[in-house]
Amino acid sequence: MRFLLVDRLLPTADERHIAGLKAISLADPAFEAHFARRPLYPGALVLEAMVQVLGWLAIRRQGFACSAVLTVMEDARTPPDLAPGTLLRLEGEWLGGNPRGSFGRARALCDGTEVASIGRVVYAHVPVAGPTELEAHRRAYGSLA
Amino acid sequence: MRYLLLDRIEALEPGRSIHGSKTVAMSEDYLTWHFPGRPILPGVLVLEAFTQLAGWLVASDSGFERWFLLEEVHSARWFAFAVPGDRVELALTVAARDGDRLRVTGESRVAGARAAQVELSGRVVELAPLEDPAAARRAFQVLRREAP
Repeated sequence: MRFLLVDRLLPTADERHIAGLKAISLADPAFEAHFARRPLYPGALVLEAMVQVLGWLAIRRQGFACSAVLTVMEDARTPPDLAPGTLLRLEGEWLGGNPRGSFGRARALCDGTEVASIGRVVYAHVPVAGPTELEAHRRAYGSLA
Repeated sequence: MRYLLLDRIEALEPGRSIHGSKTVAMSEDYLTWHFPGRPILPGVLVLEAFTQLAGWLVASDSGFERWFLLEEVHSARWFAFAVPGDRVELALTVAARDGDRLRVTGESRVAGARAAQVELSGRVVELAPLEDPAAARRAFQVLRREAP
């Protein structure tokens, strides 16, 4: 699978918030093993989608010159029975940070109802390996936004 | 990717604990994007490995009639990154049971050093609506390196 769990970034009003969309498709290879008789989207990947959307905000705030690597997750909920065909709205709020790391919270909504959340997520900022990776970050962000 | 986040179940104490391992291979496709030029096993896939360990413990305890689905991450901390060529050793212990709710704690180590610590809870569900129990039992035997 391509480990890109945000499909689109949406406009937001300020630099402390970010929003995006994640489509749950039956074509996702995770469904081959999860599960054979009934496709349920893995809860861990819903968490990752929220981690990635807020991670994009952290990366953007650092001028795309780092990757945001998950180091702490607390008070997180995820649905155990998310089915293909679901469209999630992902929302992230940046609460603080510095050049070495950042933290915030995130949630996922389905048809306006919150179905998953992370009370606190902390990232380490790992500098990109070089200009090729910096450009890859800019391009990936540009294609999502 | 095949969504199978364990390569081996090393030990199991029914109803109490289970130990397994996940090796990280450069050939795994998710590493292309996590991250470009710097492959690191995603932290949530470590969560998934613990979730699948809990599933195998529940399945083994119930004669392959039940499974475990993740619902809450109370806390998870990553102290070290796992990269291609690493073997992540995972140890999971049952912390509490309440009806169909199960709470577990886990710790992973890479090359002897602590890599992650988690506390998770979730729901114990019927396995048959999700998977063929006989196929699950065969997969378990493969993970345990047992003869069928």
